[in-house]
Amino acid sequence: MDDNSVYRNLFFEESDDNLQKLNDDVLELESEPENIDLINEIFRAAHTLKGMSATMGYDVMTKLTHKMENLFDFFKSGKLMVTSEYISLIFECLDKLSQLVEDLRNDKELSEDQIGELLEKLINVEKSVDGTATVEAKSTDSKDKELTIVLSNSDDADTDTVKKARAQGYNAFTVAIRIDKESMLKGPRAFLIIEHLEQEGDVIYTEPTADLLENGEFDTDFKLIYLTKGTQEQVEANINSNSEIDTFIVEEFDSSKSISDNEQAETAKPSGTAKKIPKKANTEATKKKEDNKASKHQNAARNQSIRVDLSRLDLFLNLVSELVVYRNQLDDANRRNAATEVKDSLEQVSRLTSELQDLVLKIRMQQVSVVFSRFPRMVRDLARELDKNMELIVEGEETELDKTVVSELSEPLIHLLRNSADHGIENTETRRKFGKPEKGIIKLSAYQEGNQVNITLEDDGKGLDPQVMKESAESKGIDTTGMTDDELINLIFHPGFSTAKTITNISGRGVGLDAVMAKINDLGGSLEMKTELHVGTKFVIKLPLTLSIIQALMVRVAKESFAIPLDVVERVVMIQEKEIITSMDKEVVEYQEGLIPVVRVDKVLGLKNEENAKQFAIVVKSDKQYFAVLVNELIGQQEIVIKKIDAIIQKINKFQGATIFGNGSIALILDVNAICQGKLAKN
Amino acid sequence: MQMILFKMNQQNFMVSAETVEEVIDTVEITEIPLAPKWVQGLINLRGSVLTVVGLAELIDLAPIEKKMNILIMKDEDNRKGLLIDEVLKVVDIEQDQIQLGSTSDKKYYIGATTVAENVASIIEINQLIF
Repeated sequence: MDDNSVYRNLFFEESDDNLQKLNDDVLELESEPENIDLINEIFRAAHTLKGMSATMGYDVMTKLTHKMENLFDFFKSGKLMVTSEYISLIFECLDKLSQLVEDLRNDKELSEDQIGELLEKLINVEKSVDGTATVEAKSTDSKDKELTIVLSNSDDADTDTVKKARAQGYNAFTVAIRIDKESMLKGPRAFLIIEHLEQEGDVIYTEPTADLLENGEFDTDFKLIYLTKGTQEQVEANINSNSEIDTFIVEEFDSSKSISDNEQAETAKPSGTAKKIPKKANTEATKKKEDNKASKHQNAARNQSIRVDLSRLDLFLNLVSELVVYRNQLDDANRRNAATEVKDSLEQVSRLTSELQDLVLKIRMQQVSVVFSRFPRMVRDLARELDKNMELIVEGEETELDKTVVSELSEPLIHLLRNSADHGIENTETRRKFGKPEKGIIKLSAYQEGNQVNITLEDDGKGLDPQVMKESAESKGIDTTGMTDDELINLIFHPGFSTAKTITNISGRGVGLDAVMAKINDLGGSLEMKTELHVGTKFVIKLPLTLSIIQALMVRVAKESFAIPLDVVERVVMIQEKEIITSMDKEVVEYQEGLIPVVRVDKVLGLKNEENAKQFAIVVKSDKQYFAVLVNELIGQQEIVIKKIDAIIQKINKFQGATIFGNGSIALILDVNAICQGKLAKN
Repeated sequence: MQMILFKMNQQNFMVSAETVEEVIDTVEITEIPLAPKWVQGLINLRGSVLTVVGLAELIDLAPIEKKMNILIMKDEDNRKGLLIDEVLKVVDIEQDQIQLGSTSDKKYYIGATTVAENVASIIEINQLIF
């Protein structure tokens, strides 16, 4: 790895963040086109992105960001109105940029061809605004511009401070500094320069703000007002003692020189109008200040988290689970030997280990917003593509789930969302006919409930019509005789079922909701659907908080111990061999006024079992059907850490993992679904 | 190169020390129902669950009785236990000491060499178990 690879990784992570932020903000801008703060925010993010790509020498990316930034500049100056066409164009740019970043990540060389088409579109927009000349003048890089000392928006308070300080014998200087554009760490560099200056006086104002400076969120230039008892020469010497400075200017402070950016052109006008200007500048300055406050807050939050390689966390989790195993062994041994002097410290070790285990699981938690944040943009695009009026409302983005679950969640949710947008929400005309609001609402919400997280996706669309389902199913050769409405509706989860009359490119790609169901089941969760004709459809996904630790029922079958995940267990009943009824080749048992199939674990696993007189039937629910799973003995309920098992053992398709007991011995975790469904298939 | 010399019944075998992470004394092996017969079961190696493969069953030798040691074999991030009779020692052998290289149709068989007047078969079994 060369030195740059550290920066490269940082670059990728920050680019991802900035692109996501841009996506979010631009989407918001579409609904609030007048929000100047938002435009500033967007401008800043775009600018950072440009700065970063330029620093890394990714010219193609810089070029595109630069042109895109110009567009934001037009919005900012009011030369261009925010319309959905422009927003779409920006989204195109953002998508392209994401792709460029992805290419860079994969060590692909970027070429100008990749952005040619987009650049042309952007240039056309620029041309339409006010001819190319002014645009080009504006877009020449600040690096080539003369370093100026005009402050954009220092306010009256600063001027006052300067006045008071001067009365006390201080000198006030305006300083403009340009940092060497090769500098890799301009943030820290600016910070050092300021700190250096502050040893001899006070920096009362900086432009951009100190936060932005320290984070390196500026091009190469920054300006400040400096109060000191020293002379101009001393200040110049002070600045000169820093390295990585390209040029700098020190001047006596002059309040009339602080002029707002937009009015810069007016400086040439006679000084008579100057009176008016500070006032305008002032209001904008306060606005900016508020803005800065918000971003300051954001920065603080960002600084309190660090990025950690997931594999290290996995390792951490493994070590802690190992610790838990040994603690349990110690506990066991201690109970047998009753060594009292060890007992107290061992209790402490026990407590600490449990806390450590809780903590490491919490560390692995990630907010669902990681996945959710992409959806508003997606729904917007879908709405345009389908020519429907709809909106996505997202709630509970801060709900946390294990990282592994979160990262697997995106695919099934996208599928459901597309489904709602395509099949659920009606077009405006139909909605009007049914007296519904023209804008369709899709609501995505997440919340924690006990040991699980519920994610619901609700639309106020047309709902599912059992009769349409029936026709559709029959045309696909699915037998629907004697099915209730409920069963008809649940056909939507039938493999190879799609109600769309024509296959659109939104949904109906041949993968049905059965794939979504399978994915959610893989994650240890469940998927349910409620639907009402012309009112809407609601999907409820229930997911476990973590995949690593589960509650399990420990059982004995023949001479072996097994764990059964508690979430599939409905109840446990004791049964006698004589209660098992044989009907044809099937064994069944009475349960809640019905008959349910019996699954003999010993038979399924090929274990030799001599004791058959008294058994425990664990009633489990698998794919909406009850099964009685027979075991010899219940050992108890316990929290277990799931350990991965080898591919060879996974292939047997009867176990979903293994776990280690307190005494160090191993038990396999039964894959109840596979065992019951396997039983069904055989019959 | 360094080789681990071990006994299976009356025969001697060698595997490259590079493929072996560690040698442990046999611990309790939990059987896995329905597993192929060369899979002996699972062991708890300091908190990790590892699958143990019986070398005798894997390469069709007579079942071993002693079962003294388990070699922990590694292949990148994967680990598996290999149940053997008994580890004798670690020996250094040169490439030119290996004989009979191409006389067997079994892919895992590298050749044979003589250590302290005993013949030992050199095998490479990671390709079979990973």
